[in-house]
Amino acid sequence: MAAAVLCSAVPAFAQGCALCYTQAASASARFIHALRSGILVLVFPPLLISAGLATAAYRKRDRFRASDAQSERSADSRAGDTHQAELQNTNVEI
Amino acid sequence: MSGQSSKGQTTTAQTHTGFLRTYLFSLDHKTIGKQYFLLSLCAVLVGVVFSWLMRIHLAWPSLSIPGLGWLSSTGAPQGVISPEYYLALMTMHGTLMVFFVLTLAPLAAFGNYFLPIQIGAEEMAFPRLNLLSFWITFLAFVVLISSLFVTGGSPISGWTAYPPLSAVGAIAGPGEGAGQTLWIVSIAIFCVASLLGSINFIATTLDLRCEGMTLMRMPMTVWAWFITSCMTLVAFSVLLPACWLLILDRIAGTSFFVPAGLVISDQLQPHSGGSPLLWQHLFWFFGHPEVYIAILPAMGIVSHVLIASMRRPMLSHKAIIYSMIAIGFLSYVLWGHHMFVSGMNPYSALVFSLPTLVITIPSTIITLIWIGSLYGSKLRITSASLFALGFISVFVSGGVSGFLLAQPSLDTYLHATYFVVGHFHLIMGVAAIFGIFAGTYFWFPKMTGRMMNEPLGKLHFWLTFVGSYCIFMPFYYLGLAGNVRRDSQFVSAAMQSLMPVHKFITIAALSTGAAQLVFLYNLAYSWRRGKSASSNPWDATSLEWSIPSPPAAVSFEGGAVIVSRDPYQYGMEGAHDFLGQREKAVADRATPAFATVKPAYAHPSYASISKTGMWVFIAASIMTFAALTSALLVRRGSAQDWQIFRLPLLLYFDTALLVCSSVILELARRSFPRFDPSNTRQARMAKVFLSITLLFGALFLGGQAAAWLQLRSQGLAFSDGPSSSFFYLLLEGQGAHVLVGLIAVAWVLDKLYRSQLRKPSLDTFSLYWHFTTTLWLYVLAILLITI
Repeated sequence: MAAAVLCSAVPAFAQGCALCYTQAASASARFIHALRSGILVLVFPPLLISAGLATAAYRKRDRFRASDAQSERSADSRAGDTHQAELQNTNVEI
Repeated sequence: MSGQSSKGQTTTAQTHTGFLRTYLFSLDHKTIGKQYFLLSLCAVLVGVVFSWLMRIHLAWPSLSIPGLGWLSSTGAPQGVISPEYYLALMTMHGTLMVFFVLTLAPLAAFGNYFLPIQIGAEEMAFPRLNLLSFWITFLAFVVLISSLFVTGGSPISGWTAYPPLSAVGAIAGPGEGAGQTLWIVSIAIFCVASLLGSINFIATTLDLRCEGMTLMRMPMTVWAWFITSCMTLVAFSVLLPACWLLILDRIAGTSFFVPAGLVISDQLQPHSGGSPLLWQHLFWFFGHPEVYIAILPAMGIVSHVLIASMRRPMLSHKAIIYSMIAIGFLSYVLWGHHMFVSGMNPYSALVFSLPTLVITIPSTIITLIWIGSLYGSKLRITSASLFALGFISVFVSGGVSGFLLAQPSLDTYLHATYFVVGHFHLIMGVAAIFGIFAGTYFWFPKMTGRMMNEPLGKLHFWLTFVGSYCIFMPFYYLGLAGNVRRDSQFVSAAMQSLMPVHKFITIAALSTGAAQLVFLYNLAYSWRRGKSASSNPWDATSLEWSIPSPPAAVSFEGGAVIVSRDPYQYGMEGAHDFLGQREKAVADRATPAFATVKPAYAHPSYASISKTGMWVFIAASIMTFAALTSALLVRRGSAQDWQIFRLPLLLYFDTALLVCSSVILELARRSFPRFDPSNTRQARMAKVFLSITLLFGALFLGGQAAAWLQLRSQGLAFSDGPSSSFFYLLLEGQGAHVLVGLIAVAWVLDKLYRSQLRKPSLDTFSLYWHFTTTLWLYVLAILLITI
């Protein structure tokens, strides 16, 4: 079906913004190439960001607030760094 | 209010008294959620009145509407709406409904109130940012409404603000002067608020979940809010720079969107070859995901409400979640379908057509799961469940027409007709509003401690449901008959034959709008005098139903929340057919109970949430600069006015300064774990490192200013050409990041001098500063390649 759709591509110039049409219809190959590059530049960052967010969510899938705090407290106590432990339990107000 | 953290610190949502801190500037996410809800309610009331005025004018063009002449003596002399005023009403209606209703109510209002509670958190990750976000949104609303009262009135360029109409100023018509400028400023402000909100939602979901709340145990509403926040982050990060460019075209004489040789009112416009298509490209990158930003939270709400009403889980919890993720992901690769008729390369249209069709698959999966789950269930018919069912109905009715519009050949005919109006109103507007109503009837008892009147709710549903179909289904007929949209009057004989349909739609719109008075009365009456609600009036399972109605100021009253099961455990044997997420199963009741264990509320790790927040902010910045880069590439290829010039050598010296500052800051950061405030030598070293970072950063900014002045002295001004415009713009954008970084260094140094600096603060700041340095290297590379 995809192949059939690909083979049936036809120019889609019709109504819509006359100025856009005029500009696009008279555009050079350079502009069409530029528009394609512009589209590619906007396609990839969201994919990377989505991948980053998915990775972050996956890594934190079983990490909870309480156990997180507890593990940090235990890590602090292991290090014997009371200063850090006190700092990390300070309230967050951003 | 008195939440105590494990170390005795109070949580943020407490101890503030007085009217201002309780109702206006509260840090409590529940209060902020209610504020968003009321703001949306104001916006929808204004938006509906505007739609009434438009419909009355379409049906009876010469009718004088009492009082309208007072609102706009030029736009509606003697109360008769002029064509330009019709366009202004259309613009304001679209803007209010899309931004201030559909974006705010299902996500910001319900999300703020219920997301933290449903994941067992006492607060949002950044409460102050949350408060700031609401008030920035309110400012955006005020700025938008103020455009009604300036000379010329509101803009006439539609909610899409297509240039060149929106870019050339007052000469383009009434409303295109100050009104259009206020519109763009309002949207830019709204973008900032939405970005702050999305940072908060993402960090809260990732880092503040209570013990036992794995990702797959989150209710569907939380998933929907989380995915929508990710989409908001990316979409609004692109709209924001697009608004900057549009403002610059209007006030600074740049030529990003306005083509050369444009003559308006016999005057040649002084612009030099911009591309209107560039705005479409940037705007629809935001605009199409915006459709899903409006509908996904409603999908989550509807799923949540239906499960509680069906008394059984959906056929597949995971399939719905994965489908919502797929919708969020795919929504970023199909914005080009809004430009099918713009004349872009037909093969590009094809590339966008395929994902447009593919995105219907996850939507269809979700719909089939809803219907399959409903089949054979013992559905409790409540106002909330009726609106959830209504959502499915209008979602399908609106969605089916999307299949047709996804075909470029059909879209060519239907694009500018009422067919599209019917499609997007049903799938984006009415469906999302049904989701908002479902959420309101469902959560009202939790939010106020009182029940809404059910008979009135059901009456409201039926009037709205039937009315919506009477309004929007005839739009399909009008579109197929070739009725062009956006026209304020239909004077041709062919269109005159369609006037009875328009009159029918207008009467239906007035009636359906009036039916909302039933809802408003129910809302206001029940808020004050409704029947008292128990903590769990719907016998539901998620965490919000495990606390009193309304919740205390500290939702879980300072106790730890431990979740032991999935969110939707229905169909159990025994006195109750459900198990709450905090309850223990009958078989487990001999063992120590989860519910009876109530250790103190464990405050989240500052390191984790601040770092998550910073990474999300960095993602937003990356998208903003990607949008600027994309605009630069398109603009560079659109005309022959691209001017090549030599970059000042000073920029290379600046680069060295910034890279050195990053290295020195990293030295300070790495030495910090060993830092002992009592050790004066180490303290002095850290202060020296940070001071050098501050100095180098300031020198960098000075260098940028000098480079700017050097180019200015050579006669290269901001608006001289697209290359210089982009040069200055990229420098300004990156410079703003450095400026914020310098303020942050000063803050870090101040903390260090007062021996209060925390390692997580330094880590987070370092992350930001290194990003700023990387950003500069990227900007320099782009400038070297293109200029």
